[in-house]
Amino acid sequence: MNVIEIQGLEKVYNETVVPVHAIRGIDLSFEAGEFAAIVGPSGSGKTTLLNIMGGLDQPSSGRVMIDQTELGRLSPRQLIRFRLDHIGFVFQSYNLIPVLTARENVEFIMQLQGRPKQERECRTLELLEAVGLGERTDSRPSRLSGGQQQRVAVARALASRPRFVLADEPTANLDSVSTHTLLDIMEKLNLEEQMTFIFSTHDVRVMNKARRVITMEDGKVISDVKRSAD
Amino acid sequence: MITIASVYFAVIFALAMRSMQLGSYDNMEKNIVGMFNGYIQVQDTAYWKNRSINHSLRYDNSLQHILRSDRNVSGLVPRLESFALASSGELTKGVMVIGIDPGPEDLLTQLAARVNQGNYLTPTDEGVLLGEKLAAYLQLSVNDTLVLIGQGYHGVSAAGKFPVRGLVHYPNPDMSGQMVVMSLSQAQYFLAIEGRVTSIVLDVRDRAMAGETAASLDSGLPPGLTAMDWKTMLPELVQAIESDNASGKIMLGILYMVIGFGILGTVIMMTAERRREMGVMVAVGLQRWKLALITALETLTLALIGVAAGVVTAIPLLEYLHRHPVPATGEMKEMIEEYGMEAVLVFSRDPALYRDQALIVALIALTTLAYPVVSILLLKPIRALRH
Repeated sequence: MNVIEIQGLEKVYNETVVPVHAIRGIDLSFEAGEFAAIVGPSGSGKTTLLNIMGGLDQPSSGRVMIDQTELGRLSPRQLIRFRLDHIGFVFQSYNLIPVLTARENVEFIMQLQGRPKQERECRTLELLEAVGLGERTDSRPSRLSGGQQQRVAVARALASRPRFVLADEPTANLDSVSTHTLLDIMEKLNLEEQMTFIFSTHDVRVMNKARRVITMEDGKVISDVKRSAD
Repeated sequence: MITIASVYFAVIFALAMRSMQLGSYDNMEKNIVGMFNGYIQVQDTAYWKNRSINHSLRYDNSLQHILRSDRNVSGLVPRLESFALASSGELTKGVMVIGIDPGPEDLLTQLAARVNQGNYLTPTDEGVLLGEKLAAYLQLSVNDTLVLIGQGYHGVSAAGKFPVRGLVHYPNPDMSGQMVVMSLSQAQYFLAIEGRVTSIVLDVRDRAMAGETAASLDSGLPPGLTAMDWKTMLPELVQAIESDNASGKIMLGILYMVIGFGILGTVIMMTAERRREMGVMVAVGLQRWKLALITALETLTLALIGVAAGVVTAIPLLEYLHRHPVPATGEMKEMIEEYGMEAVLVFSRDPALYRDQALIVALIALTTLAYPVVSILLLKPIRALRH
């Protein structure tokens, strides 16, 4: 069953001045448990596609359906709630809240969902241990390396038990050791929790791990290759 | 920290400025009203326009009983005022002669404390007190003799020689150069006006109620007598205070604008610094209104800490300045003295001052909250994440 369905998606920036076509008529669907990479050169529309899938940006035309809900029909308030319950985000530059510790950053999402304290604490510890940071729960982001911060970001993305995780260039700022560690963690969580992961990336190491590689160019999907898990 | 500091200094500046303004008005009032005029006077109805002892009144028990029956009246200070020519050697000068009851007069004007050479008067004293400037002009000192020549009740001649008992320091330079003070009995004898006075100054418990007290007394006085409050007696002083207060409020308004923009600047900076963080919070699922509420409460808490710290710092500072008035110098000194007042900057410590200024600055800080709140409500997570 499809978790995400994208139909006739178009995104044009500066429609009234000099129009820039970031997305040109994309149709895509993603099933539960996919581990997919969207690749392509800079300006190909990867990030725009991810932002629209995550409800952070509005398409110019076309629609995005997540679990039978069309994002374009939701009010801004409903959209924020929808993101909270259904989508996890991992950003290129981590974007952790600097004044909160690793534990608090992860727990924050569940607090927004109104989860009970005990459940929050258990899930936070479980996730931080899963990303290998069980010993650094009380560290602030400034005390963590880039790789460690991105692992906290992954734990945060998974905290709300979303239907899928969108990761925009998650390894762009990481060294190779941190990249491998992060990819292994995400692959493990993908398999164990049947969580859909969709990345935008330039990174060959990420492409090699992905079981589906969607290649974009000039706002269009030019290839969509599925591979079996090794 | 920057927000707390900006509010903290704002409160101190606003308090210091308003305290100085209110302290000056209070000082003006005390100098001119409390020092001599009193807050209420009872006189013959014709006396205020024609200050002649022929328009004096009889100071008897029945009148005293009427005046003392008002709850706001705490004491009666009878005075007999006239003019005379003072002479010493070949020097002469027109002076104001005032007969006082030394005890009640001291309670109202603290005159005894202002005698800085010689002694204060006794009720039956035959000597006089001179203003320092007058004594200097006439080249008189304690135990010297002053000659007074004037006109008594209904045109009789008044002349006499009086030993100088003491010299009085008046902050008001005009008073210092004109005043000759003697006991009431001596003045009545000198002016041949037994049992009469030109005015009765009423000492009041609540000076803010002086107007109401005067009006109430006025309606119960025997015909031919009137009770006037200081605002009726000194309209030019009231006008001077009101016009200075208006310009003071304009200055204060400018200060509030500076304060407001200062606080707004820090709030804008804080919002800009946290735009990315706010974008993340909205992106991951925090409702904008909740984020706006959290930010508003956070900023408000910082502002209140700043206000509290500012007030706590200002209390001892203003208390010190209240007890140790700052001497005015240069043009300001001349200007204050032109008004006939002591040239010092007095700071008020009225509790209402702290409440008002703290509330105004808190309100300004509250107004600046509109910026982060509106920014958050209009926040586009995509743009904020690129910030």
